[in-house]
Amino acid sequence: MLKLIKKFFKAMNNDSNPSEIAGGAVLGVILGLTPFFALHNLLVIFLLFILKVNGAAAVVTTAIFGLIGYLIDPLSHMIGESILTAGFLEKFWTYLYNIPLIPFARLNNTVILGSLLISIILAPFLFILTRKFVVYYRASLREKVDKLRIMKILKASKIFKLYMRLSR
Amino acid sequence: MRLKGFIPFIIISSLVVVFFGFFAEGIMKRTLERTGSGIWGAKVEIENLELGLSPLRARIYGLQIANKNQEFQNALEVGEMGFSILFAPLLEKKFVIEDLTGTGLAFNTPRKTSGFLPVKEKKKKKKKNVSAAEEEARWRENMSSWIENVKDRASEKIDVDSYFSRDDLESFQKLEEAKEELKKVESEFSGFDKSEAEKVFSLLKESLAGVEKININNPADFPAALKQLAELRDAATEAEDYLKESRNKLKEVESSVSQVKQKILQADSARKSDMDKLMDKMKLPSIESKDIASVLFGELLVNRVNRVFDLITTVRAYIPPQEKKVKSPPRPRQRGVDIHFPKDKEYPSLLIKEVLITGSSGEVLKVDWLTNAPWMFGRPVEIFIKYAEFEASASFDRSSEETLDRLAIKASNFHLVGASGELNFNGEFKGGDIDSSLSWAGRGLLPEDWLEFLKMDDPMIEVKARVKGKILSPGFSLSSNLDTIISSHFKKELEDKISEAKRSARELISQEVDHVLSEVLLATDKFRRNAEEELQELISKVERDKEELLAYVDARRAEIDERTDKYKKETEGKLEELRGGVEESIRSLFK
Repeated sequence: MLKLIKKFFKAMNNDSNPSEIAGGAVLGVILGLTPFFALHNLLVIFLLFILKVNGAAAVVTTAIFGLIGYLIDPLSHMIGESILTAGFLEKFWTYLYNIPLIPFARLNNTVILGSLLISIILAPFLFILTRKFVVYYRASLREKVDKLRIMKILKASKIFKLYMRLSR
Repeated sequence: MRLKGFIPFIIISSLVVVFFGFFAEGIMKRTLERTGSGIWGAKVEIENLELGLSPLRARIYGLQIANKNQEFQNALEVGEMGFSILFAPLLEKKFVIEDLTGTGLAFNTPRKTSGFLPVKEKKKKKKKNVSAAEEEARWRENMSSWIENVKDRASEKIDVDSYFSRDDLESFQKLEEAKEELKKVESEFSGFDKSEAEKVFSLLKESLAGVEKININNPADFPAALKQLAELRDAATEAEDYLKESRNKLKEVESSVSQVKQKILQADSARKSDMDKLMDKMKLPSIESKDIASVLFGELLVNRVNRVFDLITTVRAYIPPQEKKVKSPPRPRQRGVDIHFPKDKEYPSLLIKEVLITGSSGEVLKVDWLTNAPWMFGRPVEIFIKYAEFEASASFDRSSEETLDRLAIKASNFHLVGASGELNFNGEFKGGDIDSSLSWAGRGLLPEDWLEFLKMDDPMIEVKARVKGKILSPGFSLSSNLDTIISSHFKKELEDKISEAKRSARELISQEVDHVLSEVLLATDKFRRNAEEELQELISKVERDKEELLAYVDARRAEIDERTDKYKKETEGKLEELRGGVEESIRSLFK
């Protein structure tokens, strides 16, 4: 976990492409917000492997948005239920339900559908915002963060040094 | 795009291909063998299994399903069979086969190795498999002991003296009672005082003699005459009383005698019932009774029917009844609610639309709509098996909430403890109830020593069994013409001996009862006749004397009256004369 955090901060601090970090973060949000055991997440993991995105960013955002996902479950359920039970979409859902393999995506579950929709809608905005945040971080926040007392304590601690030495 | 990102997927895909190419067939073969053996209860073996991917298919070679009761015999063997599995339902863990065809079907074929499962698994089932040979030996032993028992009992019955006792006869007891009664009546009659009659006669005679002495010459004789007459009247009254008493006694004797006769009549009818009882004792109950079938075939048929029931119960366990449709509200889950939509094609977890496996000698195994959820198609699962002279059809209907299963078996050369015959079984399993009938008809069932003993040709034996009631505790009834066949031949064989024994029994009864009965009857009649004669004689004698006396009394009384009148007239004349003389004297004095 510490290695991942280190990798994440390394990516934030060095010259990694901000788009790669943003892409990883967006995929992480999808993984975090929606229940893990669903077919679409297999696709997201596949994208994580083949696209040039930052994996550490994806893992960190998955963890963060996993917690947020539990908090917004009632909202996801409400959105998913209203869409699944909308009369004009009934034929569409029935068609989808009858296609082989699609039922494994569990799109007929209110929370899965609701959270997937939320994450898809949020994805472009998150991508843009994250990208801008990375640029802004590198330009204005990096030094301030380094000077933070907590960072100093962290870097000065024997455990951190030992960890950094071993992980090299 | 990162090309190295594809590497894990390539590795995974390669592993899948390698697994499918090298291990899948073996794993599938072992899974089928293990599952099949577990369900069937004996070894299920497959020689080879081939899988194909496009379309998804399987081909099985050398399938052997061992016989549960015969260690080195296969119940069924299929040379080769193949089927295609629908891919889409398989993704939902649903095993759907459109049609399964095969060849090389054979039943009851020999096998080289034991078909029984390892001992541990057998112990779990706690079932003891009895081989046909053991079953036949047990049946023969059962039959022999039964006939020996019947023979022994017949010998006992023929020996009348061994169980005949005069004191047990009801008629004899009744006769003893009649004898006692007669003795009592006789003693009572002998106690009747006949000397009283003599007294009455002498009294009458004395009175008569007294009356004859009466001589009324003057009025002074009147009182004495009247006194004599009064005595005579008293004697007549006493005679009358005695007559009454005698007549009552006569009636009493008649009534007592009729009571004795009543007892004799009772003894007579008791003699008939004694005879019947004795004849009953001489009957051979095990020959007459209808339980021969139960004794001889009970265990045998119960075993057979139980085997069929076991098979049906196994099949029923895998075709559960239709679930009751209860519309429950969507169950809220921790993470959302599943909303379901209608499906174009709904499949059960197992469906084989058609199975057709044939054999080189006309063997057929045909199964239609084999599924664990027949109600989804509104039609029953139908199974048809035919080999040699055996034919069985079964249907498992789950179209309604109450299950309805039918099984019909017909076998023209079915072996029952070594004998060949025609078997018919029809069973209906409705919900928890069962109504089934089984019949077997054939020759060769009776052993040679039986036929010799009964002096008969090999007969056609029919055995019928009916099982009805709750599946867990059904009522079992059996019948067979063996009852009548054996009993009629047995009777014929023992007829003379039995007739002889019956005749001897009749003689014994006649000897003990008839003789005493006629003796008592004669004694009773004699007593009655004597008593009646005696009493009648007494009565007539008294009556005669009484009549004579009364006539004499009447005559004497008339004479006395006549004399009295005459004397009265004479006296009155003399008084008149005297009064006239007195008047004359008085008149002359006054003149």
